[in-house]
Parts: sequence; C-alpha cells; structure tokens
Amino acid sequence: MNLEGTRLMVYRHLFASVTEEMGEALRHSAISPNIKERLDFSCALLDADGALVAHAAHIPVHLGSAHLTVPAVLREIQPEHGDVIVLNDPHRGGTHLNDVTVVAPFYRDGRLLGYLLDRAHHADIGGAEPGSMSGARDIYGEGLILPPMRLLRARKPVEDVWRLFAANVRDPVAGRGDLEAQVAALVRGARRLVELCERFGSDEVGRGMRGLLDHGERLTRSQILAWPQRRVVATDHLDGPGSARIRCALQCRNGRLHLDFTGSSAQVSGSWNTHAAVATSAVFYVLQALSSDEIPETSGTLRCVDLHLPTASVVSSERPSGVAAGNVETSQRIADVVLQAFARLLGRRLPACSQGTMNNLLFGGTRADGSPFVYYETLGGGAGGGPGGPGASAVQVHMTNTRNTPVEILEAELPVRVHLLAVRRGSGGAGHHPGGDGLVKEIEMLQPARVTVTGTRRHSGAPGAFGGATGAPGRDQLRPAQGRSRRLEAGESQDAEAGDRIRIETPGGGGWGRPPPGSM
Amino acid sequence: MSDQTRNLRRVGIDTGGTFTDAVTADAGSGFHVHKVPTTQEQPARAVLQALEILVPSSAAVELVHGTTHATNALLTGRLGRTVVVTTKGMRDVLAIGRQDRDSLYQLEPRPPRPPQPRRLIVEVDERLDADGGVITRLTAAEIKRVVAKVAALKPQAIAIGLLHSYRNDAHEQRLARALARLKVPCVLSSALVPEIREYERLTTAWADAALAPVVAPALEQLEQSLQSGWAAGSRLRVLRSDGGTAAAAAAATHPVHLALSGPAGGLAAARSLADARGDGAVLTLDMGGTSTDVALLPAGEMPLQPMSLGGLPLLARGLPIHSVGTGGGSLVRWDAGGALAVGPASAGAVPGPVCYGRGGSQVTVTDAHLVAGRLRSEAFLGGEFSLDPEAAHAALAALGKPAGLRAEEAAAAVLEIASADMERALRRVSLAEGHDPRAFHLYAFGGAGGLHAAWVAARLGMRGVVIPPHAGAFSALGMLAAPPRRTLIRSILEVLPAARQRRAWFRPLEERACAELTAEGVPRSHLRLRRLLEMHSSGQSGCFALADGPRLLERFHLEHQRRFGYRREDQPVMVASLRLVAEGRAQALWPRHRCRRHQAASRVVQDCVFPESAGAGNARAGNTRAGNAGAAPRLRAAVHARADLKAGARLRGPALVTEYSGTTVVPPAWGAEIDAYGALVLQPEEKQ
Repeated sequence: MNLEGTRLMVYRHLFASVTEEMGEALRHSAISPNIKERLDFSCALLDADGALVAHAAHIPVHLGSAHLTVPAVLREIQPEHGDVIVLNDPHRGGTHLNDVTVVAPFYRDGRLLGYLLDRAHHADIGGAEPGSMSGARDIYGEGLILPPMRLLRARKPVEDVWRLFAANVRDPVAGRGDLEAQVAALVRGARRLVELCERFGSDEVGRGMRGLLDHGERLTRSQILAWPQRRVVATDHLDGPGSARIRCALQCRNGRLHLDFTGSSAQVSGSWNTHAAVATSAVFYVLQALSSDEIPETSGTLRCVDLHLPTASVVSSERPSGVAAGNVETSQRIADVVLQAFARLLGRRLPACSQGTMNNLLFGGTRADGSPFVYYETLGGGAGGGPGGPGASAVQVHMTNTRNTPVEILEAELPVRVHLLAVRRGSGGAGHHPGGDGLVKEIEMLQPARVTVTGTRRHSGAPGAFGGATGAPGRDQLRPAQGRSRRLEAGESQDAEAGDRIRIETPGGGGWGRPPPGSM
Repeated sequence: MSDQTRNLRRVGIDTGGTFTDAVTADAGSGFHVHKVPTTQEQPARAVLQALEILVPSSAAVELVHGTTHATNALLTGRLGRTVVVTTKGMRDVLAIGRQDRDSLYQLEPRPPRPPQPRRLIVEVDERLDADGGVITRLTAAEIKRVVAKVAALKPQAIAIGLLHSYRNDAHEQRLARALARLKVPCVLSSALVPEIREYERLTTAWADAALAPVVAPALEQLEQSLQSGWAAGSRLRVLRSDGGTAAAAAAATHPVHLALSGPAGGLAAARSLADARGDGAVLTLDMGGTSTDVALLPAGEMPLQPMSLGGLPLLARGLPIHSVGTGGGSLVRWDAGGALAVGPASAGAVPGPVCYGRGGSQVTVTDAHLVAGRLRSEAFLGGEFSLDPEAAHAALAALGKPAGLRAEEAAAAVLEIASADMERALRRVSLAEGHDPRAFHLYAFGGAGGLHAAWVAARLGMRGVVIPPHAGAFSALGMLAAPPRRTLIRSILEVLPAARQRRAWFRPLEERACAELTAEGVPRSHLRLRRLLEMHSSGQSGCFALADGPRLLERFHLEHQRRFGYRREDQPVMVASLRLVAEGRAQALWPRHRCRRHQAASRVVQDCVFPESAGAGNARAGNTRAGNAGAAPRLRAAVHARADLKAGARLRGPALVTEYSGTTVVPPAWGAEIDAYGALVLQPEEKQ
C-alpha cells in the first residue's frame, strides 16, 4: 500500500465519469435501435500508450479489444490534434465489421496525454447480406472494410471517407447519423478531459492513469495468487457448419494466469473465426466475474495474463478469414471453455454452462414504399444452474448483455408481426439446481425478406455440471405460410415471403448438481 | 382559497427510515418541527403521535403525507393477489422483461422482474397492429371466456395490458367494462401510461394493480383516524412521485404514483425554496447514512421521467433521483490492489460508524469527518447522542498505518474519495442532460449533506451552496410546499403539428385533470395548466419535454443543439407524448425576514482539517506530489450554532455551523450568510 493508493479511487471516479458522459452523448444522439435501445456500444479512455484506463461498458466483447486499437492505428497513421480515426478491420484493431470504432488522440500543451475511443455496432455495414453477419466465405463478403483512416482531419470531416461509408451501407441515413453521434461522443469526452487537466494539471492526470493500471495489475495478481496452481484443461465445440474445437489449458503460476489455446482448430472457412481481442475479452470477463474484489476495467489486468493463441487458428485467425459469427458465437464458446477450465480448478463454486450463444437474428428487405429496412438483434436464453440456485430463464449470458427490442417498437418500425414471445418451458437441464429455460420468438414477415439466424448449441445443448443434465439445444425454423417448415442452418441466409414466419427457440442452460431422484 | 380550506391546519409528515418528521408552518413564527421515532410495523402510529403534538384535536387538520408504504410493498413483494390480462402470445412478457441482467459480470444472473406467477396471467385472443388497427377482433364470446377465467382465479386486483393499446384502447376498455362486475380494482395500461413499450407499460399497470389492495386500506384507515381524532373537515392528502399532492382517495386509486413519495418531498421543498430565492436551476444533494441522492431541478417546470424501483421500470413519471452508494455509514478499506476504497458496503445504523460506540470496528465516512474535526462530538443530534472521537481516531490511525499516514491524513483521503463519488453523480445528472452545473447552486440537505457540499460545489465550479432551514426535516417541509397536482400523459408518436392540432390533443387531458382536482376541493380559479410535449428528432430516442407555445420547432432545435451539440433539421421532429400538468396553488411557505447584515460572532473554535483546499486538487499551488493528503491544512475553525444566526448574519471560513440535524463546513476562502428565508448560503469569496 503506497501513498498513491489514497487517490486511486478519486481518479477512478473522475475518469469513469468521462466515459459515462460519452456514453450518454452517444446513446441520446444515435439513430438505430441497436444502439439507442439495445445499447450495443462502449466508450473508453486510453493512456498515451493506448492502454485501457476507463471503460463505460455494456458489451464485454468490446472490452478486450480497446487496448489493441491504438497500436494498430499507429502502425499505419500518426494522428494529430483534431484528427478522428475510424476503423472496423478486425485484423487491425477492430472486432467485427459491424463494430465501427472511432478514436481520437488527446493532446494537452502539445503533448499526447491519451486517447478517447468509442465503438458501436452498426446494424448494417454492407456485404453480401443485410445485417452483414451471415455466412460469407471470407471477410470481403462480410462488408465494408475500414482500415484506420482519418474521418476528421483537424476537426473537419474528410468528406470522401463519409461518402465512401454511406455508399457501402444499406441504410446510409442511419449509418451516417450513428457515425456522427459517435464523433459527438468523442468531442464530449475531450471537453471533460480538458477540465480535468485544468484542475489537476496534465502531469497529474497522466500519473492517475498509470496509477490505475498498476492498481489493476496488483488486484488481479492478488486474485490469481489465491487460486490453486494445478494445470487444468477443458475442451468444447462449436456445432453446425462452422464446427470447430476450442481447447484451453489453464494454470496459475506465481501470480500470473497462463492460458494456452493450443489444440484449438485451425481457422475455418466462413465467419466463425476470432482474433486475440475476443479471447482477451473472455478472459477479462471471467476474471471479473470470479473475482471477490471488484477489478476496475483496465489493461492492468492483462499484465498478469499470458495468453497463447496458436496462429491461423479459430481463436487467432489471419486475413482473409471471416469473423462476423466468431465475434458473437465463438466468443461465447471461448468463455464457456475458460469457465469449464476454472470449474476443474475451483470446483462447485462455478455454475453449469449457460446457453452459450447469442442467437443472432438478421433480416432485411424493402418496405412497401420502396425504402430499405435492416434489422439485427440477439436473443437471451437459459443461464446455467449454479451454487446459488436454478439458472435464470430468457436472459443474456456472459459475453453480451444487450436488451431485446420491444415487440411494439419492432412492429412500429419494421414490416413484421411478433406472434409469440415466450419462455421455452422445460428447456433447462435437470439438476439439483436446474438450468434456466431458453425463449421462443415467432416473427411473421409482412414483406419479403432475406433472413439469417446465426446461433450455436443447435445440435448439442449446454453441458450440465457436477451431475446436472444438458440443456435442450436451440432450434430455428422458417415456417412458410404454405408448405412445410424448413430448418434454418446457422449463418445461412434464406428468402422469406410475406406471411412466412421465423421461429427461434433458444437453448436452455445446463443443470448443476445431481437432480433429485425421480425428477428425470 | 375557500373558507373551509383556510381553517384547516396544514401539517406535513414524512415517514423516514428512522424518524417520522412533522412540520407546520405559521406565518408569524415560522416552522414548527417535531420528530418521533418511526414505528416500522405500523407507520401510521408515529404519524398520529406526531400530529397530536402539533395540532390540538379541536382543530381540523389537513395532513399532507409522504408515505413509504408503496415503495416498501414493491421492494418486499408484499402485494395483493393480481391477475394480469394480456394479448395472446405475450403471456411471458413480464417474465422475460428486456432480457438483460442487472450487471455485466454475473455468472449467475438474477435479473429483477415483477414477481407475478404465470398461472395468474390470462391471455386474450385479440390483436392490434402498430397503428392501432384491428387484426384480430375481440369477440363477445372471448370476453365472456376471459371474464370467467379471471373470476375463477379470485383476484384482489386486475391489470390489463394489451399490445399496442397505447394506440387504440378499445379492447382494453371493453374488457374492463366486462370485468367490472368482479368488483375489484382494474387497471388499464392504456389509461394509466399510454406509451409504447409493452414490458414497461404492463409492469407499471401490474404494480398499480398489485399495490391497490395493500395501499388503499392503509390510506383509508389513516384518513378515518384523522376524521375521528380531529375536528370535522379533517382530511388526508398524499405526496406523489411527481412532487404534487393528491387527495387520499385519488392516491389510493393509482398507488403506483406513490413509488417515490418520500424522496419527492425533499425535491419539492428545494424547488419551492429555490423559487422564493430566485435561484433558477439547482442541483440537490441529500446525503444519508447508506447512500446519497442527487437530482437536477431546472427552473420552472419540475423535471419528470419514468421511474425505476428495485430494478423494475415504472412509466409513471417521477422526479429524477439518482442514488450513489456513498453515505455517512459507507465502510472504508484497502482493497487487494492497495487502493483505499469507500463503500458500497455500509455499516448501517447498527453497528454504525466506529464513533457511535455500538460495536462498529471498520472506519466509515462519518468517522473520517469526526477525526478531521468536522463534526462536534457533543453537538451530534442536538447532543442527544454522544460520539467517541478516541475510538474513531484509533481506527483511522490503524487504517492509515500501512501507507504511513497519520489518522487525520487518512481521514482527509477518505473524504476526498467520497466527494469524488458525489461529484461523479452530480455530473451524471447535469452534464449528461446537457446542463452546465457552473451556473447552479447546490442545495444540500439530509444529515451529512453540509459536510461535503462546499467541497463538491467547488470541484464542479458551482456558484454556491444553499443549506435550507430545517435541513434535517426537509422532506416534511416539502409536503407543505407541494401543490395539489395531476400529471397526465398521452402517447402521440406523430410529426409535430401546428398549434391548433396540439391544442386539440391537450383538451381531453385538461378536462380530466380539472375535473379530478376540482372534485378534491381545489377551486377552479386556482388551477394552472401547463402543456408539455415530449419530443425527439425522428429516429432518435433522446426525448425531452418542452412547453407548448410559440416557436416550438425552433426551441426544439435549440434544445437539441444544447444537449447533443448539433442541430438535426433535415429530419422531422416527432412528438412522443403529451404531458399535461395541472396544479392548484402551493402554500406560500417562505416568509421573508428582514435582513440586517452583520458579522456573526463566535467564541468557540475547533481544529479542523480541510482537504478541500489541499493536495493535487490545486495544481496551481505547486503541489506536485501525488496523494499529498498531508497537505490538507489543519486550521482553527470558528464554530457557530445555527440557531443563534439571524437573517443577515455573515461569517467567513474556515468555520463550522452546527444544528440539530447536521453540520455544515465552510472551507477557507468561502463565506456564508443567512439569507432572508433563513437559508444558510455558502459562496467562494471570489464569487461574492
């Protein structure tokens, strides 16, 4: 405990306040429901090296990627005061193409003090299918790729980039409006940083940033030191067409956490691949969730983590691999595997597996008046049973926490009708504490639409733990107005006619502990 | 006012967690305040006890009550047996909610949802589209089936929430007419909160229905006690979450409006004092034992927004109160990463802070204040309760030891963290809404508000601090200050039309509000109507309310620019909903005293640590050492008893002003003055 320790929480509150205000600015002025209703965005303050200092987070998967963005930008551009950089290339500091990131350096008295960043999921970013998240063969088919580029130069919009952006997305009005909102959030954050510098002096602000990173490192190390040093291994699979194995060997040694994903599948064709940001995010999430002390969200945590990701693998893919589904689905499986490894290490403190998917629903088409529509949402499912009781039903788990779109909003803004929104009874795995149930959503298309559902745990369900049963796998169907229902394969786009219905049944959670006799 | 109203003795009574506060106002002699311990099991007992002391039974009394009854019933789930009626296919809307968990890092999420058993939810075969058009007709046979099914479930109350009923309420109305024969309270989501978003609307209707069987009898009983114990004409009014009052019967009919009845009192009082002082927009800080409530009150219109209680969204409008976890009882510790951390765990009232001597051993914010010399141990709660400075000193010395800090230095560090948390909260409520706090005063009340107020106000660059008279019973004062009010909402979802169309939209709301208030005895000539439109730019969700009137479109664009930094004139401006506020006259509560400016004298001094004027917070003073808590100056502060300070009394910091309910710290380079309304006003010398 040092003297600085008395001021760390002061900095923490003040820096968090900057990112919170950015988040408010973004949420209020964004256009698309995905951002304003589902809060699919995050805002961050980074130090002069690009390390994460404060994060107003709604989306865990954004968390592990923020610190990778600035180094990726600097490899290609040296942004100056008044510049705003935009990017979405997952292999150069992004997550997946839909997540458009804007980042701006913050200079004070001619000296670089840090960066402000925000990242928001755009409902469409071009590509072969509406929503840009369906099963393209490679990243070129997934949509517009933005390498780090100046979106504003010396505070003036670089119109060519804005026009290129608008020309490549299906709903340019919403896309441009959301991007404007993202820039407005940066401006708001910068204004607050200026105030902090005026109050404390910029040296002190820099010292506060470093202090918080060191603090995060110390907190994380003390947590890791409390765990057994045994080496444990867990393996799980992605089902469906992207079928790939994720394997993780985990060991705590001298206050460091080693995670080795050797033995995971080589990168696959299609969009199920991920890159370092996703595994990092999953590790961040699990450490936070398991920690007895609240660990502030900083890069300090990562200083205690050795992450080995085999190159050109499903967990660390290289260009031109597609990543759209990896970001939302493989990320859930990576979290599952790390948690299963921890269950081997820490035993019954850990719950059974949760639904392990985000059940990504995408559709798009043309309204009766000729205007385009595109829609994206993710659906909750069953949480695993755990030591604290039965798993919750119909809830977002692990790597996402976005809200649903209310039925009334959905029907007011899009040519669809929701016929059923229900808890999927009996889908949770049996157990001493049973898994939570998934949900069922049945949507009728009132206009022809191209539809994609990208989900996993469709063939085998969420594993139970300590004697609990597996949860029911999910199921996705296209139910035409006439004729037989068709199964919607994960990541595969199909045409729906007006009057056809999509029915999604999300997976239940795994059961925890042996079920009482006679209950199965 | 009518003769009948004039003869009533008005009393404001607020039921708090520890004390029940009662206040009467008297034009000649000012306020009379009486505190009695709250009777947890039967809150009405303490209310009547306090009332007996302030008002003789020969008088007729109008009691304005701030009740925690609805709040507690919702938080504990002690509710009436309620049947929910909803559209076919939507039975699980309450169970699914918005599908998010209440915090991110949860391996075992337990998201808060209305505790409504599924077997008490009945689906009805009907369907509207998003424009209110009928897709599936509600047939007479279906109504009959639903009524039979609901009747068989033996409800104490019914909530009806059908999809898109905010657009077209015909189906809800027909069901309600048929269900009326069950003779239980029946709440229509389309009548209560006609707004888009089925989960939030249905949750609100459910809460309203489920509260009725528990809240209505309690209010009825209290009013009967008034009528039997005091003179004829005695009556009960209740403060609602919107900061206005309603007659007991009306309050009992829609108890969801009472969800924030208690906290609304402090804000109603703050607004009323701010109006008297001519302060315009103000921020409020109410620091209690376990948490601190902050709010922004703009000039003029009370800001109302949908509420949240225990994680449940309620669309009924309430005053915007934001809570943070730091209060006087917040526990202090070193975390495993070597950072000094305050809260969120609290010592509560038992064992409480170390200095209470009730077995608490872990340092709290209150202990830090005591060690820093910012509390008078013998003056705490009027001296009824003595503090143990030695125990607090020992605990802070032990806390500081690992970092080489003396007890006072450790105390200064603790107070700095607590203030940063409050600063963050005040920023969130002001800047996030596009307001700049530098133009405002900070109104601080509650037990510990005055200890941090000047400090936080300085950090936010605010104009000054106002510590109202009777800051410890301020909520009860708010009960007296609050006017009779009705806030009615109607969903619109259309492009902003011309003034004539807007007037037509408002008319039915005006008629209803006027009828309700005149039925409560509010003279029609006293009624003031305010018409607000909650608007947003097409496609955006950031909604804000503007008063109807000339140049509305231009005012919208100006407000959009102020909040979001740009104008969005290429998109249509949408009206989300109308808000009609009708209110009667408020009691003139703040008599102006004659102010004779004079310097207050004090012979009592106390050594006091002022971290607010130290450390890195003042970079220009050349302090470069991080965490330089040792630099907090220890100064001799004059101690003033507030009761001795008359209007016009001035004093300079460093000083402490003590009163029954708390202590106000006047830091160095700040001055303070008692204004014509009895408020203690603090300002930095540079702004005086």
